Amino acid sequence: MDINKKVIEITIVSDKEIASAILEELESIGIEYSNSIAGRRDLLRERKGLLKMLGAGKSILHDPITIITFLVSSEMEQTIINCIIEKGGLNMPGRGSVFSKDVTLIKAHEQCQENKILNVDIEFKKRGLYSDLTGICCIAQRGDSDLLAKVGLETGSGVPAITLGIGTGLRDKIGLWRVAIPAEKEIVNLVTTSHNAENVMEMMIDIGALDQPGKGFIYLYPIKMGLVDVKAYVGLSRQAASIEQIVSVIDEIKGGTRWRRREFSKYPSAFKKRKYLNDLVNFILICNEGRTADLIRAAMDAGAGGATTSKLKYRSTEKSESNKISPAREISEMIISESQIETVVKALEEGGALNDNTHGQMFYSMVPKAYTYTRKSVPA
Amino acid sequence: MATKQKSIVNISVNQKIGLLVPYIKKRIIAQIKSVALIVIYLICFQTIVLNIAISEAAIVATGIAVVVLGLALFIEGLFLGLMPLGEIIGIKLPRKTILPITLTFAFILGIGATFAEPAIGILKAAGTSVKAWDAPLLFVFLNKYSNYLVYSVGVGVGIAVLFGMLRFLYGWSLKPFIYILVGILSAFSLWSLFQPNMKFLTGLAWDCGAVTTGPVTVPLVLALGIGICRIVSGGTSQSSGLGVVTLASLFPILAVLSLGAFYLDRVPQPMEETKFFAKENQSKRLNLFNNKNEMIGYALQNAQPISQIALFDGNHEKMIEFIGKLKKDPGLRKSVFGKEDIELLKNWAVQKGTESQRLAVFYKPNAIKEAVKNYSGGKKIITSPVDVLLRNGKAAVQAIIPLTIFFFLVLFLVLREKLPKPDEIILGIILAVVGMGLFSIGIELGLSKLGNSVGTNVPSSFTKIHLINERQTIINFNEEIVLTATKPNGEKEKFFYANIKNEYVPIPFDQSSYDPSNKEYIHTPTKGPLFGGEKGMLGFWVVLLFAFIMGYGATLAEPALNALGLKVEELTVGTFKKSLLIQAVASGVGLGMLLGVVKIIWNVPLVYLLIPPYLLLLIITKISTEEFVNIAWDSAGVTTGPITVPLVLAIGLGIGKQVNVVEGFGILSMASVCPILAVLTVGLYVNKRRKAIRQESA
Repeated sequence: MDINKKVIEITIVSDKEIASAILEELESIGIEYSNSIAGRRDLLRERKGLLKMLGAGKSILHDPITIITFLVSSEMEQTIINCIIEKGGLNMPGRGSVFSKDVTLIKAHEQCQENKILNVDIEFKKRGLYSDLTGICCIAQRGDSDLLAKVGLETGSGVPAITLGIGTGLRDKIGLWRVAIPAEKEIVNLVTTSHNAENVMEMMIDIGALDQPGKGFIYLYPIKMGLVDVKAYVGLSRQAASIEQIVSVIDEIKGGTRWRRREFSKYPSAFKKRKYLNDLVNFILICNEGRTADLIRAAMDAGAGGATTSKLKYRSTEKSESNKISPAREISEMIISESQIETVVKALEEGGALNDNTHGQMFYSMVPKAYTYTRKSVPA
Repeated sequence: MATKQKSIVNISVNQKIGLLVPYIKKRIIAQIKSVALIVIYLICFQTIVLNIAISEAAIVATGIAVVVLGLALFIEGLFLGLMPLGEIIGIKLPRKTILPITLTFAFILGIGATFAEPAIGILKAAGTSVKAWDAPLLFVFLNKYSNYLVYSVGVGVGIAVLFGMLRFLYGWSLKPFIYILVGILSAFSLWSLFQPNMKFLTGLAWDCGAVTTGPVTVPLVLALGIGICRIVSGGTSQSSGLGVVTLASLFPILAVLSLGAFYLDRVPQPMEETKFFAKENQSKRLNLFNNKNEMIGYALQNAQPISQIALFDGNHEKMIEFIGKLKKDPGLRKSVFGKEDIELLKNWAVQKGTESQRLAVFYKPNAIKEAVKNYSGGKKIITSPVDVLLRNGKAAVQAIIPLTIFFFLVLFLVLREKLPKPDEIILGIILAVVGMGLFSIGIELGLSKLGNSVGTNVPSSFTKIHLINERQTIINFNEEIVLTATKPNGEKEKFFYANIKNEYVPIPFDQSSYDPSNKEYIHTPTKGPLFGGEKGMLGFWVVLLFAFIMGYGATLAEPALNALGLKVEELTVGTFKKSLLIQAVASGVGLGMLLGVVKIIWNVPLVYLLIPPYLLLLIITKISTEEFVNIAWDSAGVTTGPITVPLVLAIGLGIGKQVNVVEGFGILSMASVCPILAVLTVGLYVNKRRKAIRQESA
């Protein structure tokens, strides 16, 4: 069925330990289904003793997280975010982030529509949610993520969340020779203040050498509102309050993150020369595991350049109708231009994306700015 | 489909080469890195520390190169073919069928995997020196009932996989399984300590647990588990697909011990050789063999003449008559020696026979002399390369193909699903078979040769050993050249000078090596003790250190551990690095090897070395998180694979021979308990760090 409706995608990035508590909370307020992806966050840690003296003062610490996403109708947005912050204790630095995105739900199997009903009337404490946030997503070769994550950490921009994925693209058009090209990707997601985002993106392009062929793809995505974890550093604090505590309190007082604006003079001029890709969309297909390969092939035949697929775990409440859907699902992201949406959707639909074996869900969000290596022409 | 054509891009040959070269290079280099330590270490130890040349250096070098190539292909095959296949079944099976079918599948898979990778051959090798009278129960399971042993292990693994799947489907914790199983096993082993027969079986039982989970089973079962866990709802359930390997290491131990207890009454007690062959033990003794002829064959080859005569009612004539019959009757030869080949009989007569037995075979003293010349000096058994190739190739096909066919059948017939990316999976299976064949060949030619040669020589660091390989016959030996030397305490010793490679070397004279009839002296060079005198502490320390580094190095090269490490890294999204896991496991195996050698040198009962670590493990398991318990216990099962086992056994048997122990079992089980300890300890540390983050943010 053709719907094309504006909905909200909510993303919760939480410490793995508290994820199941959050999921139960979501269930209790009537969220019928959600998707979880296992990921990690990178934190900086101060070393002690000999290693510090040798100059290796900081190391990167990997900490397991769970990323939970789901679609809701727009009127529920604020209530849900506030509820999650309160129940998950996300206002304490180090516990996690929650934010929302505007997305357009194009088509979905009838059991995979957005979450609608909320069975609670409780009003949660209205919190100043920040609306001046931007997400940076970088799809890189496996093994490169620490380097990119470090940019976010060392500039104090935010805590990067890293997930794993499999890339599909030119690789899958060359027959069995494809096995020689590694398909494993790491996806680095960093949510930071809007005024910093472009600078951080620049630095990531430089450090990750994303202007070289085959190194990766980076894009910005607007965030509607949310609360972002600022704890990027692990180590003893010598002050009465940690710097993260201070920052989050000032954020709350100032009602936003604009006061944090600063300049990165380290990378002054490079980005003026770069040729960016503008006005693209991030087209997302979520479907049952095992069906992705065929569908992506169909989408690529229809013009999509490639896709990045990650495994996710689908969770639905016992009573909901979507309980029949397999918990083993996959999410594929394709960056395409707005004009291509229609043909891709058509191809996917013909490929059976909406049938009972696939339980597909297709939606897209805007990508105002993206960058990757381009030879001469802008690839699709 | 018309669109299909559009989606193929042709690439040029140059591009293909450009793709393949870095791809292959990367994988080969990874494998070179993983075997480098163990190879360099073994070579250095032998040439520098022990100062003994490597025999057949060229073959060994080729073998090692083949191991590298084989491992690279096999691991690639695992990730392209076998693991995706296992995962897809794991995802589809429980959703598309009813529970009993899933469980039946699991049970058959467990049994099938055991038959596909028969570790029993390895265990038989460890038990070659077991004598029927020293440990009858152990003996009967290594020979007559070795099939029952395989069946019981198979059933054990089957039950383990079945429970493993149930665990995933219902989200049970692994911990209670560990408490109960380890509890029962410890109690069982303690009881066995007081049963002379069971005491010897304990080592075999625990080793069975360690070796059953081979390089094909582990990745398949792992992938299956990961698949099943993907479809179990409940967002962030703790179980990630690990844990089956643990159960598959514990259940078989129980199965073997139970089998032993069941047969306990039917075999004689361990006893002196002469008593064993006494008349009153006849009926129980016969239980150890298939028939009387086989028993006679065994006695002829392994027992003293007096015991052999005992089998013929103490009548020497009857025995000689029987041997005469052996010479004439091929059928009888087959039932006694296992083969009709007359060479076997002649060889036996020369190597083991008494004068009168030899006479019964060769009829004339001259013929005996002639034969002694031909057969002594350890006629080298030359294995042809074709034979090695065929045998290992067959084993590789057997290990992989039946299981994959079973998987395909389940996928197509039961689940009615298509194979996703069929070309990739088929390629993967082919690579896995070829790779496994190659690395087994390489291990046989290279690593295990190197291991055997180091294993036989390593005791020279604490005791005197004879270098059989460098044996020389000095012809026209004249007893007049023998001189006498005197020790400070007045004791006299005989020696002579020989010119060997243009050097005058004093050689101690040993009357038994001299054959006055044809004036030949067989000189066997000796070596050692190199460090700290005969059975000195320093020599033992060198051996222990050697054992540690060898266990460590061999583990780095284990393919199943590599597969597990990569999967764990992926499942934890890099929060538990493969390198950390492998390092922890390798150190654990090293420590286990060290303890295993301690067991052999000082003949410590295995139970003393096994029970305390397991009890300690129970405590650490209790305080660890489910995630690490699964990872740690699983890594124990995968450590003892195709690289470690032959090396471990070579060392164990090499040392065992010098210190005269009954059996070389137990090192493997030590090498599988210590890694659990190591990984759990690392887990505790990681968790402590994570907790610190949590506390800061609270």
